[in-house]
Formats: sequence, C-alpha cells, structure tokens
Amino acid sequence: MVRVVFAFLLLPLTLFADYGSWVFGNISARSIGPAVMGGRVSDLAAIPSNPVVIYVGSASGGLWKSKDGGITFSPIFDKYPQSIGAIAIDPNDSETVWVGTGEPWTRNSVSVGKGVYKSTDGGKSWKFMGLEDTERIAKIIVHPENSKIVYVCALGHLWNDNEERGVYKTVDGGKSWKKILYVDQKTGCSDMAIDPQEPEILYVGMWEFRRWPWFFKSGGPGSGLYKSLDGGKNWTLLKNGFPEKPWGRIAVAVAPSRPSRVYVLLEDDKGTALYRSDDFGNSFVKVNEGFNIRVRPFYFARLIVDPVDYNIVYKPGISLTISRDGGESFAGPFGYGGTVHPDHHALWINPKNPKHLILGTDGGVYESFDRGDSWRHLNNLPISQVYRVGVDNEFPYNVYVGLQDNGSWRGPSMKLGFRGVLNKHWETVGFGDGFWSFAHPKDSKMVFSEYQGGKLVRVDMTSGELRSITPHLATGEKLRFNWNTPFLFGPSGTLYVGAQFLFRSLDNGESWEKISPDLTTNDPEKQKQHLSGGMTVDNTTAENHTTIYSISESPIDSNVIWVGSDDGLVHVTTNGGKEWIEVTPKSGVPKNTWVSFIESSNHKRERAYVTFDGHRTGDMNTYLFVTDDMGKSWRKLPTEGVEGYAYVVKEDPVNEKLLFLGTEFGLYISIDGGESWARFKKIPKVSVRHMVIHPRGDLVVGTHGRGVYIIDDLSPLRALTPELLSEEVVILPSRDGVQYLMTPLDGWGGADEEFLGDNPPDAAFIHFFQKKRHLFGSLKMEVYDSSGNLVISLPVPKNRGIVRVLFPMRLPPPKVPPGNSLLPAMIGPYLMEGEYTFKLVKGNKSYEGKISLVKDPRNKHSESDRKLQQQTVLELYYLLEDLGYLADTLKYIEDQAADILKKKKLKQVAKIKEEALALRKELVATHPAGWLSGEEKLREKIGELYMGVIAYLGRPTKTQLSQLDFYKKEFSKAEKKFNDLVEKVKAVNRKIERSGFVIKILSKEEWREKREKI
Amino acid sequence: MRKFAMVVIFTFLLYPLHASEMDVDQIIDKFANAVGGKENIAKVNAIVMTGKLKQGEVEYPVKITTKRPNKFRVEFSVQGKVGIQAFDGSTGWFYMPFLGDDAKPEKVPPHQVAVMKEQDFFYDGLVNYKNHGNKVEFLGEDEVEGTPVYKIKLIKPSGNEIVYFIDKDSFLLLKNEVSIKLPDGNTHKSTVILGDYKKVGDLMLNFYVEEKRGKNASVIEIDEYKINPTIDDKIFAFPENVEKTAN
Repeated sequence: MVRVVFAFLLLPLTLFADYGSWVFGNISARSIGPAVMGGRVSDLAAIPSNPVVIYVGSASGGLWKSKDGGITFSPIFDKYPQSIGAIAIDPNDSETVWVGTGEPWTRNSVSVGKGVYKSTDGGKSWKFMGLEDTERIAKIIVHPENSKIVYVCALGHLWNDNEERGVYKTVDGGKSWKKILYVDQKTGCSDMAIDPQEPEILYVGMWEFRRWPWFFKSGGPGSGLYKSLDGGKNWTLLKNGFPEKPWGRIAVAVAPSRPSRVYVLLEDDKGTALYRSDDFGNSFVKVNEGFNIRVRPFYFARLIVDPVDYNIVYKPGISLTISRDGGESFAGPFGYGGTVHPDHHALWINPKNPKHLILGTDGGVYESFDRGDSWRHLNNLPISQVYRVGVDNEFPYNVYVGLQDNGSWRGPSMKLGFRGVLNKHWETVGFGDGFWSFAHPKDSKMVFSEYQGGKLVRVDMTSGELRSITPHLATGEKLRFNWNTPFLFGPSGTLYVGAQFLFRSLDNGESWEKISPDLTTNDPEKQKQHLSGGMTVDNTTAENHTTIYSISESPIDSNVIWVGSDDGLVHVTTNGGKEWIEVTPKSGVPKNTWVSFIESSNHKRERAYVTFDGHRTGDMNTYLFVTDDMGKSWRKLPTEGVEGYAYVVKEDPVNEKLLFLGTEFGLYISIDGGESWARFKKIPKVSVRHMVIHPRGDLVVGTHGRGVYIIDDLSPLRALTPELLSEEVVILPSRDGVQYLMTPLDGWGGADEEFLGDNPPDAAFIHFFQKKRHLFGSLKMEVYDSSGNLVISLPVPKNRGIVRVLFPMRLPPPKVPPGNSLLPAMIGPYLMEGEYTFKLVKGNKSYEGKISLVKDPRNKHSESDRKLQQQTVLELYYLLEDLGYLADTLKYIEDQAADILKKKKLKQVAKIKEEALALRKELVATHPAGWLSGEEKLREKIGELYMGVIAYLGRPTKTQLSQLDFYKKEFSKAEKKFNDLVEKVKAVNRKIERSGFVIKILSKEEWREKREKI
Repeated sequence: MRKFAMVVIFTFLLYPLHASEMDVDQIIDKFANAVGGKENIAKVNAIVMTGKLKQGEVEYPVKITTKRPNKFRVEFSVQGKVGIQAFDGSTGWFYMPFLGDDAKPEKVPPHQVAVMKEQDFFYDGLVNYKNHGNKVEFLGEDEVEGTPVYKIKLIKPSGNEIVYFIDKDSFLLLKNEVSIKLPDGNTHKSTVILGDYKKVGDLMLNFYVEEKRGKNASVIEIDEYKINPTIDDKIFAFPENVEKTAN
C-alpha cells in the first residue's frame, strides 16, 4: 500500500516536465538603450546629508540609484512593477526608503503600479508593504520624528472605480494601514504636505478624475482640499479664499522655513491658479494665473518651496518656473524650448545648498547648481519609453524606436570596435512623440517615422531632408488617427497606415490608396477628443478613438490583411482590400476591447493571433486568441502564469510553436503554441509594448521604460519542445559564428558616466540543454577542427535549462617570449572558416555537435586573400612561439648556470651563462625600464607585425610579406646560434657531470607544459 | 498500522519541511557535511590550487595558496611573466612586472587590505561562525540560475556580509555574494559562482569558479588541489625583492 502511494507521488514528477523560466537558462537579453534622451521621470529624491545618493523613479522604467552624484546609476527594483509614483527617504534613517508604485501623471500611455514597497538597506532588498490595489501613488511622507508613522497619498485607479484610494496611515512601519481620508470611488489623493515643525498638521488635495479609452475628465464634486490637525483623525475642508466647487486637480506645499505659508495649485474651470496662505491654510489669496501655472494641471501639479526662503516657490510644468516673491510673479530660468527637455514632474532641492536642484522631466534627469540658470543632463539612464521598435537589414542591423515625448531614433544593434552602443551612436529620425519608425526594407537610407496625430514623415538619411507623407482624402473627410497610429511595411513591401480606413502606398508614401471602408464602430460618443480634459481642455490627439490600431499583412499571401481597431473590431480581407469581413471573436473578451496587436502566422495562411488590451476600462486581464480558419472561429489561449494586459504577440517564423507575448509586466515565452507560458526574467518586469524578430534570428524587444532589449540568436529556443525538457542533456543548434571585421579605429575610451549598451559577446555560441544544474565532476566543451585536432577547451556555465557556451573563434594567443614588457599580441588568430565539431564532456559522458564559423558579410576580400592572411598570421604566430621557446630556454640555461655558479665557480659555466644572456638580448628587449625604454628586438618587431597582419582580414601588404620573410631569416640565424649554444651546453655538461652538475635543455613539449603552469 | 503509515506519509507530504521551519544551523551543518564534515574541514590548514583563469580565448595559468587563518598568495602568469598578490594577515602586497623589469613589490592601500582581511579560510567563517563572533541570518529560499537554494547571510563583527546560496538538494554552495565596507565608506562587491565538485580525499571541492564584478566576468578552472602541503609563511610576507621570473 505504501509503495502504491509512493508510486503515485512519483508519477507527476516523471511524466511532466515543469516548464518554467528556468528553461531559458543563461540566455540573456542585452540592453542597448537608448539613454541619450532619457525618459519620463515621475519622482526623485536625494539624501539631504549626502546628496550624491540619488534615487530616480521613472514613469515606467523602475527605480534607479546613484551613489556617486549621478555619474553612474543602477536599477534597484527590477523584480517589481516598474511604474514609480513616489519615493520617500526616511528623514530619520536614510537607509530606509519607501516607494509607491504607479505613476500619478495620468497621461493616456501611463503604466500601472501595485502598492507600496520598503527597503531598510538603501534599496538592496525590498519588502512589499501592501495597498496593492491603489494602482498609483502620488506621494509618501515619513513622519519627521517617528519612522513608524508613514502617510501614503494614493490616487487610485485611473480607468475605473475603486475603493483603495485616498490617504493611508501606518503607525507600525507599514505592518498595518488605516485609511484616514476617503471621498468616493472616483476620487483619490493627488498631493499631500506635512508641517515639518508640527507634523500632526497635514494638508491633502483630493482629486476626482477618470480616463476612458476615448476621453479624459479632470475634476468633479469629489475634489477638495483637506487639513488635519491631529495626524489624520479629523479633517477640515479648506474653502476660504477659493472659488466655488467643483474643482480639478490640487497640489499643496508647505514652506519648510515658515510652515504658516501654504501654497496651493487649484485646477478650476473658472481659472486655474496658484493660491497662498499665511495662516496655516485658514485663508487663501489667489496670487497667480500665469501660463505655466495653468498649463495641463493633470500632468503638472506639483509645487516645491525653497527649504530656506519661503518666498521662493517652484512650479514644474512645460518648463520649470520660479517665483521669488511668494508666487506673485514667475520667471522661467529658461523659456519653453530651452536647453532642458520640457514637461517637468519632479524637483529635489538640496536643503544645504538650495541652488542645487535635481529635476525630473519627460527627458530624464537634470541637475543645476545655480538655481536653474544652467543644467547638466544625466543622460545615462536607459529609461526611454518605446512605443514601437523596428529593424533594418544592415550588417550589423540598426534598431529604430519611437518614444514617448522623445521623437524617433535609430541606433546600432551592436557597435564593433567600441565597448558597446553609446549615446553618440543614436541619431534622430523623427520628432514629437515618436511611434512606428523603420527603414525601407531595401534601402535603409530611406527612413519612415511618425508623430502624434498620425503625422507621417519620410527621411532621407543622406541629406537629413524630411518629406511629409500624411494621407489626405480628396473628399476632405476627416481622418481619425490613433495616438499610436499603425504605420508599417507589410512583408510584401507595401506600406500601410491606418486611420478609420486602411490606406496603402506603393510609392513610399508619395500617394495613398484607401483600401477599406471605416473598420471601426464609428461611434460618435467616442469621438469627442476636442472636448477631452474635463475642467481643462487637453486635446493633444491622445484620446483619438474609433481608429485602426493594428495592421498585419500575411507573409504567406499579401492579399490577406488583418486589421484591428481600438474599439474592439477585427477585420480581415483575403483579396487585398476589395472585401472586408468582420471577424471579431464573439466571446471570451468584453465587447469593444482594444485590439492591441494582430500577428499573421508565418506558417499558415488562415492563422492569426490577436491580443486584446482592456486596461483602459479597468480590465487588467490578459487576452490572447488564435484562429486557424481566417477568423471564422477563435480559440482563447490559456495565459496561466502570465501577468499583465497584453500588448503584442509574435509567432516565430521558424518554429510555429514558439510564441512571444509582451504584457504590461514583461516578456513571456511559450514553446507549445501558447498552451503554457513562462516569463523571461532577464528583462525586468517592464511594459513590453512591441517586438520584432530580426530575419537573422534575434528578438528585438521594445519596452516602455527600459528602451530596447535584444535576445541574440533564438536558435536554441526554436529547438525546444515540451518532450525535450525531460531529457538529461540535449545538444541544441546555434547560428553560425561570424568572424567580425576588426574596427580598432572606432573605439575611444570614455569614462564611467557614459551609458554603455551591451554588445553581444565577441564569440560564437554553442548551446545545449540540461535538465539539472551540473554539480559533480567536470563539465567542459572541447572544440575540434575538421582534422580532429583539439582547437580549444572552453569553460561551461553550470546552470540548468539552456546553456550558452561562448566559443571565441580564435586560437589562444601565442606563447610569446617573455620580455621587459607585455607585447600587444594578446589575441589569437581567427580560426579558419568552416565547420568545427564540439564535444560536451560531462563527467564520463560526452555529446557531440557541429558549429560553423563564417566570415563577416562585409568582408569583401577574396577567399585566396583571406587564406593568405590567415596563413601569414599563423606563420607569425608560430614564429613568436618558436622565439618564445628559444628565449625561455636561454633564460632557463642562465638560471641553472647561476645556481651552479653559486655552488662552484666554473669558468665554462659562467661563459655559457654569458653567451645565453647575450643571445637572449638579441631576441628580446631586456632594458629594465620596460616599455618606456623603447627598445625593440626580434620579439617586439615580430609582435608588431603579427598585430598588423591580424587586424586586417584581407591580403597582407607586400611590405608585410617581405617583413615576414626577413624575420624568418633573422629567426633562422638566431636559431642556429641557439643550436650552437645547445651543443656547447652539452659539451660543458659532459665536463661538469662528474661534479654532479648538469644544465638541462627543455624540449619543445616540456617548454609548452611549463608555460601552461605556474 | 498500514493506515497509520498512510497518514504519516500524507501528513509528511502535506507539510513539507518548510525552509522557514528549517533551522539555519541545520542548513549550515548539512552544508558542512556536504563539503566533508566539520572534523575534516577543521583538519585543513593550507590549500594550494593550480589552474587557469580563462577570459575568452586567453588563458592565464594561476596558482592560489591559502593558509589559516587568512593568509593567501595568488600568482598568475601573463606572457611567461608571473605577477603576485599576497596577504600575510596584516600586510597586503603585489608585484606586477608587466610593464618593466624595474617593477618592485608594492604594499596595497588600506582599503584593499580591508578586502583581503575578509578572506575566509575554507568556509570556516560559516561552518564555525560562532567561534568567529559571526552572526548568521536565514534569508529564505531563492534560486541560482533556476536551481532552488537556501540563502544564508553571514554578518561578521566588522559588519561585512557574505550571502551563501546553498543548493537545496546537495547542500553544496552554488554561489556567494561578498559585500565589504571599505574605510572610505564605499563598498566592495563580488559574486562568485561555484561548480564542478569533485572528491579530494575526504573533502568535496569545487573545480570551477566564476567571478562577476560589475559587467566583468572571469572563470577559473582548477586543475589540482593540494591539501595541507608544507608552506613556508615567508611566501605571504611582503618581500624587499622578488626573484625575477624572466630576464
């Protein structure tokens, strides 16, 4: 019986392999930025006593910490929701940091948070502290004298009603929370201030607000300004001096140097204004209604009072304006369009030096030491918010991104010769808010991009000239373009753009043909963009609705085109747009849910995948559907284990079972056609908005908040099957290793402050899968050439899942003679192009596979020239080694002779020593001053020639070839002298043998062994 | 009786041994046993490791000599010349003859001594943590590259910390993270991944070490261990001169 029980228990373990994130093993994703333009920063803080420690909360790219005044930043929150609302450093203990997730700047594209976190070790580790359903948090205040008392100003849900909003208080360091101020399900806390001298006094701005997919409304009866005198037990509504309600968004600040001075920014459809109180809020006077006070209150609602001078008050807005007279007049330190990226949200003032400012904007972090007269951009944070990503076919290929408020850019996927992809490698290809951007599939000098409102441009990258190519209807009928208008080349080379109609262009946008009727609901109730904003009209086209949002042309049949709309409709045509059929799934997803992506199958004409995204109505579920019959029927794919609403799905072009799903909370991968999913954890829990699979087999991931990640070489993932996961060890395929051209002139040092996007490793990949981590015995990878000679033995990572072994494609560097300084010959020659056999040696088992090395496609040198180069390098390589053998042996002779001479003065031994030294001095530089001596002997000269020939993968110059001949002759002469000396040593040995002495000569093999050990 | 056995088994299954219920001392004991047992660990006084440090296609022969309580000497060979870094318990020094033969041994600055001092001899700081005045803290379960582990933090009297990631199955060490506070307030951090365990005498030793510091990573493949060879303390002490390895 007991046995039966055990058998039963063992069953599930042996029959089903547990698919999970572990399967991806050490496959990594590399971040290439861009960082040059920054990205939206929602809050920031620095430690007052040590302001080189800076925390930056990005709108959707996580929390970053600098310990060196912004020279370098590290992400410290990658496992948690990446949308940061508020940061608070405990004034009593700067190692304690509170973070509220969920951005309070409620624009259309905003991400979501999931509660409050606390660290007590300066951000090394985090503990979830609750308030999970608050979605967004505007401010956190730690009691200035008691760390256990913390107030959280929770804005709450943006797109639907919820109750977890208002002001929360803990008196036990976050173990429990009490809601101390609540208005209703539509109203949340937009700002909060504490009296630093009487910390029981609190001021709170409550804000009624709501977004719909097609509309934003700020303001309502719920908005109000509250004050408590007893730490939140009782509240009074402040009215004195304010206009009649209803109000909109409210910001409030208390002057630290004179807490009776309170500033309030009040949004009001009768006139948004700044108000001031000098009696602790009992009465207010209106002091300013300037542009920067009034502008976009839902997006700019923060006031910061100088820590020393209560009359200096800052209002971040489109620009940062400063008043020095208590708000009566404002002067901008720079005008709109100045040197600092507009759209400012966060400001930190150094209390010990109030001219020292740190500013957070839509373009990242800036620092000033003169109260904003001049700024430094800390452009080393890769927090760009990608809407769309594209690639071209250059080698190496370029990546294109459209960014929130940061235009469109292109940058290299890797940068040979440099340490990686740097800021200077990115160039702009569009402006405004950037969305789709890409190159012409056959000509990457022709680049397309768009900006808000569906404005399309074509850029000639050789001249920089821009051509506007936005479609227009001859009837004058108004076109409705989504904020993130779909604009792309289909696989056939046709250019598409979607308004409410689908347009196509066969002449790169010179002309457009309307190929569909209105493919949306055309619901007039959802076409009130011009009225959007609520109390303050805010028509930036961000709420344009009833528009086409997704377009996908089938790679199998270009007459099959799928179109999805933001109001939930899916249409397909099978005849290039002549007829359209509505094929919206009838069940499984609420009606009118945003069609976030359609992916035509690469494998079956009738197949397509669709993701729906309901978050703009408060529906946070993941929706993924597939059809195999042209939309006649849909199957909802299970998304167990997937977190977050879905933005994008990609079907691998090689393995139809391999799917990639991007959601608000990261990248998920399925190897069984979408039946089961696992998160790819090398990419943070960031919003993955778009992806492209490069034809060469990389996955390029566009994240909204962390720029672009590239997963190099999908080959091993393509080979995974659920059955394979129960195997102990399986060799997996790899793409060919490319022997890149060397480009040493490109690189230049740079210092630590520069953002460095990772290059792929300069190595071929060899992949295998192992079910369990390798623990006992050796695990090595041996590589053999076609003749069966061992070329190199490689270390192997031990992780379970996929193991990627780096194969450097080079011989080990030559064993050069030791000299008075290091030779630059620190790299080995490229291995010959062609196929190699590798053998994975795991304990007493071994597994074989093949890997091919190929030339860089830009390497235009003929095969015979390439062969001559490799042959020449190898000759120099072995010449250096032969010289190494001579020099080491001579030194060995000298050392033995010296030992003998210590014991007995033997003339012939002394002579041998002298001769050995003299000969060695002919071969290698020996001046004690080393490299500064400038001394050059055969070693140095051959070493220089070796590097000269190795660096150019074509035919060596005639000079180089004749140099080689010359050095070979020089070496022969030296070798002859060496052999003569060896004969002399032998002769001397015969004489000194009787005294018990001998001078040994190393064989080549002995020498080699000696050099490989210490 | 059979019924009883069933109940016992089911109860056992329903309430697996939770990490939180697992005493940190139990984990450390199991770790010590996995490595060879406390007694055998205590018998080790000196270790010499020889192997190769590998970075891409480049290999550097290395030799690491350690001796109780915290003496060490690292030698590595580049283009046939040998560099040395060593510590005798109080003085740290290096010799790098790579740019000229006029190189002399040099003493390392105090902040490097701070790091050198914290070298633990063969897990002694963890296995016998009480003897050293160290504290341990159980940080729960985690993963090392997908493999479940127990996480234990060792806090030394100096305030420096090592986090050990111990395999839940074998109780061998898969990874540790060292964090050392330097005199100027900065922190030295390094992460080491261990593997290729093999039996050497009574001990179970790793033949693979992967070190990560920032974006840089290197691997040391150990070819041979010598346990308790005779080692003259002189090799750890700062020398006035180092015998030249070439020229």
